[in-house]
Amino acid sequence: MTTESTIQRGHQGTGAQLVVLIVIAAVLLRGVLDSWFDGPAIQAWSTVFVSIILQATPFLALGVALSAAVAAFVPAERLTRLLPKNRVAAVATGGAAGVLLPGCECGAVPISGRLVSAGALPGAALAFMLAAPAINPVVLVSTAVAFPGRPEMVMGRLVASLITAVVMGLLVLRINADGLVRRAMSRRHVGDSKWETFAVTARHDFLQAGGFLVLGSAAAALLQVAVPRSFLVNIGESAGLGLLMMAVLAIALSICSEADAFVAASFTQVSPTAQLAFMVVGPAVDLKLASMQAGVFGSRFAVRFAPATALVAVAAAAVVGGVLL
Amino acid sequence: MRSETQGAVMVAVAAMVANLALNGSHTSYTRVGLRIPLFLSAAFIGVVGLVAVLKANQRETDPHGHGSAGLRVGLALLVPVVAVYMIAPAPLGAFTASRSEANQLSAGAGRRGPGPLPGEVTASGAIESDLSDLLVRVYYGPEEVQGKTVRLVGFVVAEPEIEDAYRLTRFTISCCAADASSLQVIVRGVPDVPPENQWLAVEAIWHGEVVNPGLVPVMQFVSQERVAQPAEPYEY
Repeated sequence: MTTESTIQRGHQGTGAQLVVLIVIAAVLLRGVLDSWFDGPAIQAWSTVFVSIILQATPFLALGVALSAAVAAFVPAERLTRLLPKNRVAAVATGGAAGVLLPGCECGAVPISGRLVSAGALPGAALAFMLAAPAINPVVLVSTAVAFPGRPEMVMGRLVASLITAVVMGLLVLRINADGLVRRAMSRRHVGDSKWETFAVTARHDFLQAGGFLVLGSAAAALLQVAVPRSFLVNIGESAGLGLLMMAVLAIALSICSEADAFVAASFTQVSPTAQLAFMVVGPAVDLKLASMQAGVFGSRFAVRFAPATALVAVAAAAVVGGVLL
Repeated sequence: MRSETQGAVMVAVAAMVANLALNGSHTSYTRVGLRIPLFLSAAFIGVVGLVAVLKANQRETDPHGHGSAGLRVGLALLVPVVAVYMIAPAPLGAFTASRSEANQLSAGAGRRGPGPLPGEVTASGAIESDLSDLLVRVYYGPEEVQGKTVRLVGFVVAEPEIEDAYRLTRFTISCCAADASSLQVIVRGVPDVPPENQWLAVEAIWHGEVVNPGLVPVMQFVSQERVAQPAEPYEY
């Protein structure tokens, strides 16, 4: 870190100018380079890419504002006192608290990172991160609208997502992953005043979560353009692997949890349990989320956590779907 | 990354988001209703970024510089800014439509239910409708639309099987273009088929025919007129 900051000191003042230059160049060269970007595939990729980021921006900003508020205004002791002493009960509480965050998944990642660095039990903070985008009222209402007359889909989503969140939280407790999330625990930015802490934390979290959101969205948009949706579903149907294919699709498409019920409902050729799997896996793990988790908690953590979450989510959807649907 | 640079990246992102919301072109990517949330988030991001730029000028060395080494990934946020101004991505068009299955209406669409088409009647006697309303009627109450002249707005996608025909297409989104699915009707008996992606206002009559895959209704051409891309290119 020392070497890095020394190197950066060497370029003092050039960074901001470079950013301004890049933006000005982009605007000026637009006409000149238009023909380079005329290809329909590049157009379609950039439309989907910009769409995911634009759609995520308000939720990311909300999440970053809340995470910075946690860092600046919530004393660590207060947070620890809010959670039950019993660690298992704390994880369950963390998961259930997901009901409180309206919005989709992009905001939950930085908040959960800040909860960990403010001293919350990592298992509880991660259970919150997984549950919030799936079980908040906005998402449940949009699920009810997408599946009219089928309240069992809403119930199934709520139960299976909560199970996924709590199981993953307990798993993190059990294998004592505190060391794995050390990256999130070590980052506190203390300013001279609470507002300075708020501003520094907000900037840090926005750039980090936002930067990884861009990388994940670029990959998701590439998959959307390169692999037509129907292709995967047809494979799933013909091989009887509908459930797995819908899970893979949820990971690849990286759709907001507020919209995924409508997309799931439009896949009329797969079973209700496979539709449920799409809605349980997507908000917990997809390309953009895994990328953001790597940024906040470190890639060593993310490469274990994301696949494990996907497996648990598929199993939860299969069991709950088998019982309810 | 120095805090001045960090601030500049945030200001650039905020300016791009505010710009799209201000001139209304956010409708090429998201629902029109996201406008206010986009403004609010642009204001928040812009202010936090601006504070960083101004503070960095005040005192040259950042005493809290630790922990900013992992922030280089934040530069990736310039990619969407550059994409918006250099590529200026158009709303999804014929390329995407021809590679996805048409008319995968979610069960939720059925709640609009059967019934007469709700649109205004034009001077020529056609009923103005959007594609989703028409398709819901075709699937859930065909007698209400059969034999009536309907005026639709959409863009042209090539029809591979039927001659002198095109697929009049519109995308429907629930949040953003990443969750888009296409709505299509085939218009046949067209005297001159316009190029793909041309937006049209078309009057046509449905006599009860649909073709697979996607149960796409086949309509008889009455008239067509080239129009500009609507301010809201997607149906919701």
